[in-house]
Amino acid sequence: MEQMLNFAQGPLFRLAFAVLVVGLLRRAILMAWPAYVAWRRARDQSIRWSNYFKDLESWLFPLTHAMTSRLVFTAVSYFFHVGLILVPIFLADHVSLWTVSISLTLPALPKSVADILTILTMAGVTFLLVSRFVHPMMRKLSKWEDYTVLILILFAFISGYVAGRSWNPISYNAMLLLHVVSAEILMMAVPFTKLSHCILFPFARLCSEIGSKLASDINYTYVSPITRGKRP
Amino acid sequence: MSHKNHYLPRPMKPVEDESFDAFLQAMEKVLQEGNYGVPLSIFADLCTGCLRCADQCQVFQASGEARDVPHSRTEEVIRIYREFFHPRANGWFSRRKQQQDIREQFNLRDLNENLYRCTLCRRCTEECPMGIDHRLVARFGRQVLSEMGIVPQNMGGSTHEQIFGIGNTSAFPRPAIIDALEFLEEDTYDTYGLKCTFPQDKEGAEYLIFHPVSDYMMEAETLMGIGIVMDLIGHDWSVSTYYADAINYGLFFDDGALMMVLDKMVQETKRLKAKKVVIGECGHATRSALGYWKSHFESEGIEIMSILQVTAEALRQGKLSPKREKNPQKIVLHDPCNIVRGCGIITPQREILEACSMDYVEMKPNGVKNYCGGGGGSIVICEDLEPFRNQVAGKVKADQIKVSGAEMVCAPCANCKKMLRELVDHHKLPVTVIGLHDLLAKSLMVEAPQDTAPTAA
Repeated sequence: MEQMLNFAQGPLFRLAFAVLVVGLLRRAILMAWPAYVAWRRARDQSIRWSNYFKDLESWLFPLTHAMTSRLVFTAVSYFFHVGLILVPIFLADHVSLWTVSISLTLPALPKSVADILTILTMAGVTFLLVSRFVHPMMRKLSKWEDYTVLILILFAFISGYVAGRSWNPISYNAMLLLHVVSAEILMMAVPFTKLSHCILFPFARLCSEIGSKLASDINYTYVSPITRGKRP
Repeated sequence: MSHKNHYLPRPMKPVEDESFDAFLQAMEKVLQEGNYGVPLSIFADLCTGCLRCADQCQVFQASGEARDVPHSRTEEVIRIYREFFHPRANGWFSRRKQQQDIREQFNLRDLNENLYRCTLCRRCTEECPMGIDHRLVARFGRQVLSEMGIVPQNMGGSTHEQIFGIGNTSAFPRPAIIDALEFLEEDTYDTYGLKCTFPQDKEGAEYLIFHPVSDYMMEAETLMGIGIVMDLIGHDWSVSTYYADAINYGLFFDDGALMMVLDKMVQETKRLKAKKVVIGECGHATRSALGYWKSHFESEGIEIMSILQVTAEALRQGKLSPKREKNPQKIVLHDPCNIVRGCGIITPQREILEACSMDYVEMKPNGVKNYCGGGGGSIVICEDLEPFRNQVAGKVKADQIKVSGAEMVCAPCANCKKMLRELVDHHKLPVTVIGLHDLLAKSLMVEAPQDTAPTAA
């Protein structure tokens, strides 16, 4: 057990982190390069930056959007994201893991704050999972990936939360191993699933603006269906 | 897939090749020619299915059908892109099973119907946390269909007439336009007591106005209003009788048509040596011209603007003195999507309405959060979609009008006016639909037309 835990927290963690970083970098390059090429070839190269930043800001602090529709859902998903980003990075135990494995020193969250964020996140995931299941239209449109990712997050958070408690039903090390492994699977899944929105999210709007621009190297003509002969 | 009601925009000609391969071929061509691949490759991985878009869509709100959720409407197109054209769709990561599934499930008729159930209003895009532009995807899908020769009958016919035929979407011959302009001059004097001229083909005039050509037949008051305003401001302006149409349906279905129509406008402007082009009261014409003006290589040095901006500017400078008492009715303002969300023109129409009416109210919601009237994205043009637009797409707007309690709906857009008139008839609402410059003209009216009436300008 001890050995497996050491392996999971050592080499396996470094591997997972590498997959996460390299995978996300790959996504970023695969997104940015075509976007740059498209922008270079666009006839109209102006981009409405002020609109773009205003829009982005309105989603980083989505109060107005929450008031527009689905107040509860928006609020829950927002606080779920806050916990999901802060806890894995700034929890005291994680901070020491960062230091040991990749020599990165970060400030740690006070334990009480981290606990509250963890509970909020777990409640958030549960809510999202249940609503995905209960809402007839959401269930219709959800794919297995949507459920799997949420379940994986929930599992990683619960196992991490339970591990350090006195009422932990199994041994500390066993629970910790479950936590570490599930979290590492999650990390490796980020670049290959919808979780990659963590890096794509800010650029989607930019890309749609570039995508609607016409290309300068094409002579746009319209072939009317009336005169359309046999297509070559 | 079985749905209760089918509202199919009938294609112009029977489709020659309905196979999935033909669709893929067309999609490949569109992807090569345009930049659509960039957003599509991102959208393919972004949607988390939060369904905020469903809350925003007036079509879904009225129908409640799963296919009307913006996400599922565009998912069909995105899915084909993801499995066949995404950078990782080929080679190692290609998924034969999924490709086979798509091939088997593909139904061109359903796809065509679904893409033409979208009003291209962009309301869902504004509220998508991920920034997925469903309008862009639906528009891309229509472009692919157009590449295959699948264009709704009315739109295809009008566009053909405009680009290859007489030169405008309503197929008015030039004498009819000249007649209409002369009639407008007389009628302006009879109705408003103001003598104003409608200069035709004046070379070197500073402003060249392009109206949506249907206004010459259906919205004479709007044209009179714009004529009066231009005259009172004292602008040197003109209208072309050779190429008079601002309508650009290419915005809804085909980049080629969009650019060819724009080219006609630019060439006509250069021929008449105008410095500024003004687009009349029309939503999609404003967006297609303002949004794509810089995309035309020869447009440099020619300024482009909407008539709303010109009029609002004149009001600010005090060049117009409308009398608000002339419009005492309770008026509610309808925001055309292409003007508020598409071009960001939000305050000018409000300034104008504020200046020329006693009691104007806003819809809830309004501005960039407005609802489409139901006729956007060519739906109002297609005859086959009439039951759809009145019963489904326009239902939310009809409720909005009802709640506002107004006697008049003001819409600064030709297509919106046509749509709202149908809607008012269909839902038997006690309101009249009117254009913005119609109201302004009324408030600028001289009491009784006399021979000694003051001359504008």
